Amino acid sequence: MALYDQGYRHWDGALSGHATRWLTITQHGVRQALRNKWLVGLLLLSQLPMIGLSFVAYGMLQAGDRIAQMEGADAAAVRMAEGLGADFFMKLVPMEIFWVVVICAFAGAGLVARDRESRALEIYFSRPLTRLDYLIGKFGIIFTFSMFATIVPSLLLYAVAVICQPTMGYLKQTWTMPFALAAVSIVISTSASAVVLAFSSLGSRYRLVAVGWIGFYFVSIGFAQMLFGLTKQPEFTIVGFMNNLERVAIALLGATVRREYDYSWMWSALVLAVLTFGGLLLVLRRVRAVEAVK
Amino acid sequence: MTTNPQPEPVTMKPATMKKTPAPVDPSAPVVLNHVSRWYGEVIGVNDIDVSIPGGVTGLLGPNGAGKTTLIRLMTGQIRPSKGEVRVLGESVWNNPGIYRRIGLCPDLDSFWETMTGYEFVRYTARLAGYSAGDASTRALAQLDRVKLTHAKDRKVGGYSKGMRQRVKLAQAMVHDPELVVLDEPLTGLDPVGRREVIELVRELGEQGRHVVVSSHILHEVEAMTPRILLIHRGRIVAAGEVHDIRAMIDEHPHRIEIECDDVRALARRLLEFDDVIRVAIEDDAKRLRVETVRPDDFYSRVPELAIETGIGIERMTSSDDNLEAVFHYLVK
Repeated sequence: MALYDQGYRHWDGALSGHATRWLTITQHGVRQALRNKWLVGLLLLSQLPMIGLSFVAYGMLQAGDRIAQMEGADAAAVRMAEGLGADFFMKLVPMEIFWVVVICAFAGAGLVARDRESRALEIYFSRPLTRLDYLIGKFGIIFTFSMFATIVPSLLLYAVAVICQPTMGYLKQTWTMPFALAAVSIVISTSASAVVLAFSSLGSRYRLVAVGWIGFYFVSIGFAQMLFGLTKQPEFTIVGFMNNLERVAIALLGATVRREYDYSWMWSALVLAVLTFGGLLLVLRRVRAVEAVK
Repeated sequence: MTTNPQPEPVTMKPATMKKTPAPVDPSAPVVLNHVSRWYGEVIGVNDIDVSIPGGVTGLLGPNGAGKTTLIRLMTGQIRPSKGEVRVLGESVWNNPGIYRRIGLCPDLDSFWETMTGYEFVRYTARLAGYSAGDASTRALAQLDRVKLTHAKDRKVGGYSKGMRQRVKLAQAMVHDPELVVLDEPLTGLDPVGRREVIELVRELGEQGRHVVVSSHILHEVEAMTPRILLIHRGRIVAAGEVHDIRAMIDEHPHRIEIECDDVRALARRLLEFDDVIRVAIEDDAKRLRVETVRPDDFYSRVPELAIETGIGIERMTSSDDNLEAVFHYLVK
């Protein structure tokens, strides 16, 4: 008689690799967040500046038609590239930053704080996950929403500008613009996501975290404006979070440098890099399965 | 550094209880090599050198004994200040891969209140690496196993304490772990829920899994496994079979308080039995304090006495039922 082993046998099917484990956290987090109608509303509202500027672009197109009739198509393309160029797209950037800040407060403040509050970190870290997986997964959630509020309106606005042109001249003149817009979106989204995650890791009450994050944003802008107003030294604006984002965006888009940003964009890039990496490192340090006194 | 006062060396009478530390078996599923853990100046566990064999093992100790710290060390949730913890042949600290093989049911509520029970368990399966389809199947199976199918679509935030406990059990088992570590799994469960979880733990053991289950209630552990580790003040004070503990308790006077309507009559009857070594009438003349060396016999006898004599017994309590008393016996 054959005797069969009745002991425990582990499931031997395929498990997903470790490299994409963070993606599970991101996918799940995005899906959960999108159940919130308020967030969906905010994401839609974040497209309003693009719609407004699309009308402006359309108005400029009408002017372009008149130029084309009077001075020819090539001249019109050149004039359109000037009118719908870097400075035009730069108008979108402060509004994108604003919406990213609002969305980060709404969807990002609780990402780590809620896990800390509900002790869910213990569940995460009783799974085959590293702290880095957790960090990337959470970062992915807020980065996704931030990108929706930045890259989507930017590229749609560019698409509107291109589609409305009677010739391909404008596209030839501005073909690098989508890449610059994507780069600006990535800079804004990365910096804001990292900093809001850092704020989130500092508390366990997400409302307080959200207030802290918005306070940081406005206080830093106010401080930058005050220092600039008192000293007239543009370098002082690097204390403002938004100011640094704008300064880097101006450099990436090749827009006209305003007086308060009359310093090397590298300084702002450095500040943003420090905030981004510092924020992510802080999250890594703060995230533990169990909070224990050392 | 100051530490908690340590218990005196263990002196135990029954032969099967280990007077001296048992040799550590390096091939055991859980091996702790001289593990200590401090929280600042407070010691959580102190120089624990023990191996936990396969099957179901109860980790028994009073509140604050160090059970949860030991479980967190065992599951790599915290790093030992000293020593090494090896689980299923691997070092457990900073080794996320091992969590494919370990299932943890934490003592406190740890979940996302806005998820439904199904979403919660499914998500934990996804985090363990299962595909969306497999995770769904497994989540449903585990919810069925812990009798939560009817509430799977309700938000965890609306669950009762018992349901929360069961959904935690489901997530601990959803990835089919070899070692299941359950920290106070019976807390908050009603008698039916307790019985179901006890059955579940036994079933896990019968399937060949290793289970470590903690509790501060002796009879709960006894119902799940005969093999226990006793922890007190951060140290393992004994390892062995539950009946040995029982025997030790029975060898010591067991104090029982009885409230009844005729204390003197009941006292007279109780003194007739040889296991009753002392009976005292409290000042209010409504309560008896009895000391017996055979509590099980005593408990079975009292209802018969009440019927026979017609004495109305209002309440019967024993301060010795708590585990502190057991440890007092063990370490004195």
